[in-house]
Amino acid sequence: MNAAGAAIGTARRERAKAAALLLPAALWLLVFFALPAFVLLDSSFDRYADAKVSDDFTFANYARVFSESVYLKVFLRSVAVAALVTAASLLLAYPVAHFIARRAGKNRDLLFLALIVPFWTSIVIRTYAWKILLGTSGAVNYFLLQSGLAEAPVKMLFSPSAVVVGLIHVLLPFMIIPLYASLEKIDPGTVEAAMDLGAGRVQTFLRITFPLSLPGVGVGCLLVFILALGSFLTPQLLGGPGSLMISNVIQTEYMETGNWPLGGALAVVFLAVSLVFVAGCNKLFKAEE
Amino acid sequence: MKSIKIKEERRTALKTIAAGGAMLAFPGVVRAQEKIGGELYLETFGGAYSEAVTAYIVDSFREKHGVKVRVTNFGTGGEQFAKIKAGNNRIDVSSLNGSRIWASIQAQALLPLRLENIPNFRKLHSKFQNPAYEGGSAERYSAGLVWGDTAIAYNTDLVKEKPASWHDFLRPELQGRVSLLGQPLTMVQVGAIMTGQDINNIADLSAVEKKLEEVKPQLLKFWSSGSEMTQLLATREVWMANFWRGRVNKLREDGHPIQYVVPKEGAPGWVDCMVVPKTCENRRAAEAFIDHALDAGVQGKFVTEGITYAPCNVGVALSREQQEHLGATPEIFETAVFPDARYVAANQDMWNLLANRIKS
Repeated sequence: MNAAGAAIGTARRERAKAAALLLPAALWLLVFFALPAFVLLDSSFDRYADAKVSDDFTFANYARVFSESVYLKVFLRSVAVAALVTAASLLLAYPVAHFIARRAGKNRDLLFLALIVPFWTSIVIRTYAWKILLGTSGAVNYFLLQSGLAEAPVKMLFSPSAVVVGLIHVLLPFMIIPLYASLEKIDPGTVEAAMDLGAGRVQTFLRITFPLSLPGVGVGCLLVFILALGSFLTPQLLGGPGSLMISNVIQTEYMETGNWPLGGALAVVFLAVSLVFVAGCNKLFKAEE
Repeated sequence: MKSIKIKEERRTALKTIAAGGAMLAFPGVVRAQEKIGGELYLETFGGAYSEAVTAYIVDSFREKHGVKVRVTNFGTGGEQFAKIKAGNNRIDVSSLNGSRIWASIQAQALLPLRLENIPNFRKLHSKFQNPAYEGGSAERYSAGLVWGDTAIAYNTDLVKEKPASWHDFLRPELQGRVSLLGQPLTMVQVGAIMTGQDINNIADLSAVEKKLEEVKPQLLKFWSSGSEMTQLLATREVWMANFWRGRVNKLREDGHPIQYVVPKEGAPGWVDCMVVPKTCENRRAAEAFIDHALDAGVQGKFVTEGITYAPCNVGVALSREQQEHLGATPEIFETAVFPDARYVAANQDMWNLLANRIKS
């Protein structure tokens, strides 16, 4: 066998190895994502009448999604909440990630562990904790009343702002971790070189550190935005009478009316818009890089 | 001798043929002889309800029949309706709201009850033996366990004047202190009652929507499960809400100043049923469990010592005081309006859209 033949054989073996390594994840995705997504898509063309679903092909569910203004209204609210949560998370997460990556020194592992610890607790319990903290008879109101800062309990729960606060708390680690990964990779020499050449701290941050951390910013924003957009539990527990988000609407179609075809159509449109957003972000951040 | 033997053989053969014929002609009779045993997968409402089911029904059933019972809880009737409809998990017996029975039958998600295995079914009130929520189906698919109404719960320390009408939700001093069950059916029922309409024949749905829009600024939130509402009342976040009598009784037993009142306009009724989903794998034990739960003695303990709702078995001996505590007086029963499941099924899609508009 000549050298070219050996190279081809090695390449084939590498490909086979890569395929073998990818196979479990690919199968997992096929069974637990692709197939359910297909079932969802398929059911979205079914007909629903008198509490009964029949498999007569129809576009009526999609027509309803686009013609009923309530769905657009709820979707726009979901986008606005998700955008707000993403922007606030970025502002809060960046200094934390920067500190852990660049300044924490020996304590880095400890701080990183502290960041991951909340994931060990269920999201339900973490969200309920806000009810206990911010409730009328909760810890914050107790402090406000005892210290004389308020004369009557302040209403903090069951409002859009409570939903935003709850979501930021739950999703913050999803912003910090990719930011940390990006910031940690930046060669300290580049920052030092910029400062040696006369750039101030702000200028160094804006022209060196931030642009180099953009991949982390992109991934973090994407994760937080998508998770906030599809959040169900936090608006359900902390939201007020007008805090409906798109996942809550989809849930009622599945669980209250049993109108799975309409729920499916809403979910498909929601998924499509999310995918367009992901593609747009990818393009934007690739261009920035 | 030989002729006798031949006769015997012929008789045995005839018996075998007759038995085979009987199996084909009367499968119910043969099924009724199935052995009660094995494991039973039971799913029921969570919280205090589940605790009472376990303490007063499951434990004695386990003792009586030696069946291992696995109890799983769900948060809302809607959640369970979706699960039963999907039919992906083994569930031998499940609780289910009466208003969802017709839709579950339509979805072919339930097995008919073999009443010969559930003799206590005949002791239910006639309204539950031929229930409107089964939509006139020929076979029986549900056995009512307890029933009640959804009326007004209020905090007696914070609400000075006892409510007497659903319109008391609109009192200015209660702004941001009221809560309504966010289920479309209940929202529409409250709106219909407030606008003087029959919950089973709503002529003016836009009036219902307008009324609910009027109530919305009064609301702290739409509640979604019994345990959530219990917590909201206990922590004094909510001062007045539509709620269930049994949960209010439990709150009062725990020392909270919460009272229950049926407004002058009346209150919609509900029934918690037991059903056998099509994913049942131990049908005989499921039927034995239902029969056990319907027993007058078991039901009596369940409703007086466990969850305090009205029993569906009319044979449960209750004093007048107990009847009033449980909301089980004949007067309440005669005036309670149960939703017509066919009407609900025909309109729930529209009602859900209305509810989404209110909540958006």
